[in-house]
Amino acid sequence: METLLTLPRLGETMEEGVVAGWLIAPGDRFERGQTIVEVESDKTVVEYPALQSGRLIEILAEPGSRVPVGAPIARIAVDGEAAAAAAAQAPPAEAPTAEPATPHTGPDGLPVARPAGPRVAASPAARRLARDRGIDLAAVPATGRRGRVSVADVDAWGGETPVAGGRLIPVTGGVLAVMERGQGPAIPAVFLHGFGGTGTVWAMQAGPLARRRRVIRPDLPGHGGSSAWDGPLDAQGLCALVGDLLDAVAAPRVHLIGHSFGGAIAAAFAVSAPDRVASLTLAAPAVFGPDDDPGFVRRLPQAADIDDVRAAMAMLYPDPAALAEGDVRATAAWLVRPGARETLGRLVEDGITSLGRLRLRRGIGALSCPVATVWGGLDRITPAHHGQGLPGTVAVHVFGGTGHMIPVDAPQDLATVIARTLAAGDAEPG
Amino acid sequence: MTELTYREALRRALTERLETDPTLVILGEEVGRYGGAYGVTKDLYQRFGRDRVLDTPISEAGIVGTAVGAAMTGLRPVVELMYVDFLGLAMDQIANQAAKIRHMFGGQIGVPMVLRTQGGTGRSAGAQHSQSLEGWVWHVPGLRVALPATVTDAYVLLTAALDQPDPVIFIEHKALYAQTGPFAPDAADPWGRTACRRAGRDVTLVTYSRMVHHALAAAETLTGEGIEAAVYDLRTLNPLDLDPVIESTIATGRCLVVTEASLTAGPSAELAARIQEEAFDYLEEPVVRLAGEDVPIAVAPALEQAAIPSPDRIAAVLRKLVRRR
Repeated sequence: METLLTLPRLGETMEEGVVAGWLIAPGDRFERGQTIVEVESDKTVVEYPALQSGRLIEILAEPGSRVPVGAPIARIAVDGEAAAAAAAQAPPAEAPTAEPATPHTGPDGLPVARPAGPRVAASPAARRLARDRGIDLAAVPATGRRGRVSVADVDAWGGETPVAGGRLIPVTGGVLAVMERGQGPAIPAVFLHGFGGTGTVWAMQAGPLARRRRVIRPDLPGHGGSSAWDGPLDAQGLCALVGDLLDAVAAPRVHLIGHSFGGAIAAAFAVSAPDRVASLTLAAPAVFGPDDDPGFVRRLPQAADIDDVRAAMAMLYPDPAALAEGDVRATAAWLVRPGARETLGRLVEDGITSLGRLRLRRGIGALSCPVATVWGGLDRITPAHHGQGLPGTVAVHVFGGTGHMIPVDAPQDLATVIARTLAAGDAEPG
Repeated sequence: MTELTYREALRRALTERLETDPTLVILGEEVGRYGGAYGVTKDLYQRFGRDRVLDTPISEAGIVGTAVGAAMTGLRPVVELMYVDFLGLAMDQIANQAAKIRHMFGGQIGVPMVLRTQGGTGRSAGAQHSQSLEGWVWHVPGLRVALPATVTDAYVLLTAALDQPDPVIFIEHKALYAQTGPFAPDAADPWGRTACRRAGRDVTLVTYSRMVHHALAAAETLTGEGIEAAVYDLRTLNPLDLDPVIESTIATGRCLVVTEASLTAGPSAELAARIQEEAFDYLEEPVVRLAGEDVPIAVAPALEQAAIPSPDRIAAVLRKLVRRR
């Protein structure tokens, strides 16, 4: 029976999503549980499995297209009885979401179990540990009672973590949680998020790029799935960390994209290792102006409870109502992990202070690669006028109606600037 | 250190208050001349007289109702209900009067009554005199519920109960009255605080009343096998102090709830549910209950013992919880 496959709702607040990629071609058969399409919301990337067996007839939403929840993304033919039952139970547009479609995601937004696959038996403590470490429980050999995965099993698991896009990479000083997607011959892109964020903030920009190149999104030390940090976190330490990461993922030369504090790190790294950077895109980079507002970075590590986290994060938005409660919860969840606050505190004391002394405004003007900066006209943390007086070789884009959270507030326009800067960097000799 | 029996510690608490609080009166069946069915009020009638220690007719509703009225009008009555099994006869006075009066009169008046009773097995007292019915009263908002396990707590908790502004159902254990133990009130935890009777890193055991002793015996056995069980004594079910138990469970990942009260819809279910809700993300095993069998208690000693958790069975369950398979 022929029916329409519609865009699933992957989270309570999701209204639209991007079809990141089709894993099967028109005419291909698929089995129930098989991953057929990757969907990206503003929170996460999810491999969406077939809820019934059948055949893909026609793709209606090409990779990269943005569609509202419930809109048709493909025509499919589903097999026999299941189709009849689904048709009887729900109108065609709803049929594919008749089963729970919400993926099981941890606080870091990484799916920890596939919705349609068999549930993994694991103790709650093991689940929590696996979630914290970005480990897929299905990959861990179970030795617990009744075949349960135990904490000891998760502890002993040293393998690569095949969780969608997430793995843990040990570097000097700690372990970085890194989401990596895409492949292709083009120069890889590395995204550095801002203070108090995680790599998931870049979901809207990373998706389209992943069709042609590797897209690498680490969580900064103490943030998200990354560990607390032992090593130095001053400008030199942070530059060394980026270098270690590039070595670990075998990416000798990359496009660097950074937001806020991550923008400052990206700029410092580009200045310290210009031969490793093919282009530099900085969204609301911090420590570029004398009147950066330190309120948020001082307040977040001190947050005593989720209300404090919410109050701190509200400072990031011109309209506090734009703050998503899911982001607040996710942040609160990783912020309580051992050492996270202490690491964040050191990033403020050591990192921001020493980055501020580097004269990065002049430094990025001397780079030979394309450099673009993007500023939010309503940004109170790194105000747009910080873009004035940058060296003339640096592009300055001001998004009038946007606050500090440019990757979230103006995802499409930022993606466009990034794409153009990358294209310019790809075209120049390395 | 001074050693007393559980019975003597209870009597000491009552005696001290009879001496210092002229509003305190004791009433119940055979509490006067006879000295109480289990001897707790022995000699108090002779020493304090018939106005302070009242022998009543055999009418539980009448005794408790009298005490509720006395408490509302300025006295501090201590009722002895000979067996907790007789709760049903006085339940309207307890659940609908004593527990509700502060609420229904807008807080203007309370019922500072202590209802002493005793429960549990151990004396071949039969099906109608051996139950553990703390769940009946724990279920009623407005009642405090205390269950002392040790000699010191018999004194400390009864003394504290006599300071409460609200009704306290004080449930002693018939198998503990003759038990001798150290008497050290200064070192005891205050009212409403759970006591850690034994530290341990491998598994958390929570219980109260006589089962504390069975739990400690089981933990002692397991030490020899390299298993360290933490043992927590709740002491009062209302107020309930589960925080130390939850903290310990988070550390061990394993928790066993032990009650003499029967399993189904019993106190062990409430405790296990709360611990599981709070410690969920840290559990390696389900929170397990070991409780009395869902049967009327037999008179035959062997059958009576078989109906409640023994140190051996507690140890066996702990072993299973800690073992990997």
